[in-house]
Amino acid sequence: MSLEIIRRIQKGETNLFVEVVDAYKDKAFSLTLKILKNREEAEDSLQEAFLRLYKAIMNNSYEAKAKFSTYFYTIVYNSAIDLYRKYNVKSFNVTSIEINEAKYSDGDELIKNYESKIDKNLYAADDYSTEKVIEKGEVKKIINDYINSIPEQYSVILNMFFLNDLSHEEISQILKIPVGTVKNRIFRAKEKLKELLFRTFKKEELLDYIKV
Amino acid sequence: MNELNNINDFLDNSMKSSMLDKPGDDFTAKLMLEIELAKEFQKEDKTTFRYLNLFIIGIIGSIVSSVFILVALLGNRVNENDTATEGILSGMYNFIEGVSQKIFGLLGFRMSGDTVLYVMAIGFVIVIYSLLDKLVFKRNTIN
Repeated sequence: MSLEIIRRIQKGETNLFVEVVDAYKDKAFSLTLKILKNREEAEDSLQEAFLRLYKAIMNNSYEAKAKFSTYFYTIVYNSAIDLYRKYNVKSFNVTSIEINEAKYSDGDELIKNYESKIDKNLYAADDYSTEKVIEKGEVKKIINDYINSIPEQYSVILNMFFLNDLSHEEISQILKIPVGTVKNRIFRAKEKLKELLFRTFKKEELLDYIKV
Repeated sequence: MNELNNINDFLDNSMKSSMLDKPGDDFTAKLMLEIELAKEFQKEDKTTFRYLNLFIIGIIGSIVSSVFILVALLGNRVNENDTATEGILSGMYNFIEGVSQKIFGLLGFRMSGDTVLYVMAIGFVIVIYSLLDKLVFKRNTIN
């Protein structure tokens, strides 16, 4: 978002803020939903985030910040975390990545547990075969299942990186974790997904599917 | 290599699309309504604070002028010839001096009555400045 747009919003062109909301709401909602796992709470959290953003624009506190996306997603993430802490009796068990950093020194323990769970399920499945035509939606289902079941330490980062187009540095800044950890988690999560697909389908089958 | 790139691109796009979710259709409308309401409340608060500030400034102003008048009069009391006024002022002076001496005595200080009045005046100025800074010059968050 350019400084020009911010100036115009400050001068009272509220319709421009509507455009900002419309441009970011879906992607940001996906992130809050990933954290809170409840549509209603995710919407409330995002409303709060946009309201905070509006106030920041109107009282000029935004201008000091270098990049809009970093500033905006910090608000989005913090609003979601605030709401989670307010209702932390619920079963959501991760969210605060920094808390779990202490629990799982580099996060490796958690993904290893998750990977072994995937491996176990995969080899136990009857439909595991080396030759078949990939059915429509089959790959998508595997990817969806993977994304939905991966631990939050990974899914939040993947969401920020792939969906919200944030850089490694921005994610590191927002989540207050080292850039190396961010890169490592994206790489591992993607490699694991690739491995999962290659165990289910042959490389050629997958390439044929992609071409279609 | 090219095949691997194709797979990587496919995975990136697939992950992207599988993560996308949308809020309710009325999300933007509800948000803008909330913003309008916040603005409305802010306006009302501004009006209330304006009157409250005027009231506080009035009270503070009268206290300040009273203190300065008292300090000026008591400081010059020796030169006064009006015995009636001098009597009242001396009474007040002695009262303030007595109370202050006791308080400062408890704290281990010894001060004359004039010094106590000057200290009080300075204290008032500091309190008033911080009040004005907090209430009158405060910036509002939503215009």
